[in-house]
Amino acid sequence: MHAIRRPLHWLCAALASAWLAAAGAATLPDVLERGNGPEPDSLDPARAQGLSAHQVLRDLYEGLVSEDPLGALVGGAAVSWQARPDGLAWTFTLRGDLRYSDGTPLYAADFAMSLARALDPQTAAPYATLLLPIAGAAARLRGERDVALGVRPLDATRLEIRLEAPCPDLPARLSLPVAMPVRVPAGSDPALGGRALLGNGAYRLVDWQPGAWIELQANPHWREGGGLPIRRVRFHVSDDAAQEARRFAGGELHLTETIPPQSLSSLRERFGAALRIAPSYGTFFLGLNLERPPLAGQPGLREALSLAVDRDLLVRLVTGAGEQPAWTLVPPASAFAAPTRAEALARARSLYAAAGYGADRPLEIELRFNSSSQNRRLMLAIAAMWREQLGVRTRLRNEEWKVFVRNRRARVLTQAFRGGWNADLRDPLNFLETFTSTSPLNATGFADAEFDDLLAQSQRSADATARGALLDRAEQRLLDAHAIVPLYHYASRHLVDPRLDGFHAHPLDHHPTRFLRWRTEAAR
Amino acid sequence: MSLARWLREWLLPAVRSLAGALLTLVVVVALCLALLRQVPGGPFDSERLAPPEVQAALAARYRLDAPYWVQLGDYLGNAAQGDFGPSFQQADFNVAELIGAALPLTLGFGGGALLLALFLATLSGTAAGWQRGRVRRAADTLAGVLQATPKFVLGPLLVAWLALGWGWLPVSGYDQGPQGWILPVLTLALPQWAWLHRVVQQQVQAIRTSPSWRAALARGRHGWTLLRGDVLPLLWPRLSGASAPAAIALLTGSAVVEQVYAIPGMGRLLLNGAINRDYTLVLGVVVVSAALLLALGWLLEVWQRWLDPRLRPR
Repeated sequence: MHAIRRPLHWLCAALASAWLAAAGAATLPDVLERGNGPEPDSLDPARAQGLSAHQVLRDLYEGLVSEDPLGALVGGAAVSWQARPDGLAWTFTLRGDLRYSDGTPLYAADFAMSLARALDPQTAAPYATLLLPIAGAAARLRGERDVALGVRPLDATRLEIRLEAPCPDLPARLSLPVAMPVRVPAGSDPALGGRALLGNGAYRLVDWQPGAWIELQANPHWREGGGLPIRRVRFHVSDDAAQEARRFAGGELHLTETIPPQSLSSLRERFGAALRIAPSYGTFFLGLNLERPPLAGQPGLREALSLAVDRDLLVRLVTGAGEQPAWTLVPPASAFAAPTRAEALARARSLYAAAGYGADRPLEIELRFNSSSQNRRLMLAIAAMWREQLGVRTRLRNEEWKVFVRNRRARVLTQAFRGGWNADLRDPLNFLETFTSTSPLNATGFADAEFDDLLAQSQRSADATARGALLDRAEQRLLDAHAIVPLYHYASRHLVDPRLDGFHAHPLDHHPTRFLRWRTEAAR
Repeated sequence: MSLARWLREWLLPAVRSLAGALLTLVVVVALCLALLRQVPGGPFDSERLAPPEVQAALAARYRLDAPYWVQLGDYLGNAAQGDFGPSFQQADFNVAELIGAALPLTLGFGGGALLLALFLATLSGTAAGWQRGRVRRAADTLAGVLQATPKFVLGPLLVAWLALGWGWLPVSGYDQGPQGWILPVLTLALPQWAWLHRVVQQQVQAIRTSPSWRAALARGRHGWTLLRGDVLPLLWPRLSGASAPAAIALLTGSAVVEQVYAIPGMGRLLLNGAINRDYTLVLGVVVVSAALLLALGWLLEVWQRWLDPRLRPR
């Protein structure tokens, strides 16, 4: 009996372990399912504008410069780069074995062609203005095709970029999708747009179901070849945060774009360690129109409005999902020494009175924002603080997004309005540039020659510390003019499957799939 | 049937309604285009402002600079050939492609929901109209509750209960195999069932108080023969008439359900198109929906004329 039963035991054990192993392996999905927010507007790196498109593009393409998982700039298609001492020309040395996803080799000339394409007004690249430091770029963008562009391949693997003026942050700019190399296959249908283009990134496009998902597969010609831990990934359209969270809870998504609008404590309870919150490089603020009454020529009044807002209360009770109170435009590297609430209120009241307002003559002001329940709650809270502390009468005006953007830009109807900026680059200049007197994004009407000059000086400065000091001084001028009321610095919020490894906090919220992998212990 | 009679009763009305439908479509496009041009904020109003040369290139590419009559003429000419133009917002797709991907889903989910609602309403409405008492009260209450529950509440409730709570069904409706269809179809069908249930119940009650009913009883009919011979023939015309508004509600009111179940259908296409000022996309969705509704109305008209000779022209 024993002799017979023993092999049966072995067989059972072997079957059981095989079944367990199979079940264990089956718990790790073949396809990484990512929530990606709204439908990407294009997969043409030059034409894409939305952040959801950029997230996919960073998988499909790689610029000369790339980022590590934490956001530090590292070599991408280029291994190294060097600026000439005067800062007016840069030489990028490319890797020797670059290929597009169809196996075609990729040379320095491809980058020159792609940059010229991005600067063609017919391409209508929304981010082309970030390439304006390149010599001849402004003329090209105006449609002057006979002007030489300062981008020249020196040989197959060396690219020279000449500039109009020094631009110390050129490598960061070249990491943006707009500067990525594209191959337009001969005879491809132009109606396919970005779907027809070939990239040089870690993944290649397999399928795009409009409104549903975009599927990518590991690119066999990627320089790290077979080393990619995630072989297939799907970027799902998830434009409704509550629905995205339900799909995550049901196991249909492994990584979400955001979290649903609920209190942080209830989300912690529901999702536990899957909830990942990190500071992000962006700021929510109120813009003040400096060209129209009642705020024109009233810096004291503007300061009073700023001081009366209790930022700690806003981030704790109204937004409540990891945002940091803001007193500056650029998220500071270290904690900002904010005034105490009592100090701020005393000063706010005396400034308000000095501007000629009081209980018998309250300030009447319009606060304009784009319709969303979150914005509405915030603006109501701010209006309540202004009324309680100063007696200001606020009229809330909410407008649909496109109408709001147009009105804000026109600076005719606006008084105080919702503003905000998520930086494209990890550089204070990217925030400050939007407030120069010539910037089309400057909705406040802030125009200060010294501010403009400080930004221009910072671009001529090759030394990073000196440049930082100039930018700090420029920011201080903007803050002293009280053209904006900084409210809070944004936070990035995601739900991440606990079996997923390699997901790190990134200040610009970039999360390329190639850095993600399944935890091996999760399979056991 | 003589040829003259066939022409008079069937072909002539068909031609007339087809001509009417085409005219309606042209008017719909003209109105819609005029309204879209009046909406404040344009497709390229975004946080980043393109340089003037780029804006000019975009305006030329999408013919935004052309006057109204030229835009309308171009649009009608191209649409007649099935070309609805490129999408403003989704640069990599043209409108015909986007509608081609979304329409089958909306028709599938909507059609499934309509059939389910009709089937359930026929059963429950007949039962409730036949006998007073507990069945009727229960069905009445359920119909009232369902009619009053918005779909954005009903959908997440069903998901929380059947998908997340018991883990029987997937959360989203698209690309999850046949099980994925159950919840969206149910969410779409239940409010329509509630409404159709009342229609059927009232019709059955009306039949039961009519002289023809008493005549049938006097002739000794009862049970199944009574139902088949004297109730259903009078129920079908009413039910098919009522299914038209139900079909319209399913075709045009699916945006909420599509949002809840992440289905890339026509409702979401229209919604996003309007938000993004994607003029060509909105026009395309409106034209296709209007054409479908007109076709549906025409089919129903023919069907009802076939059911009820009194409706045929003399």
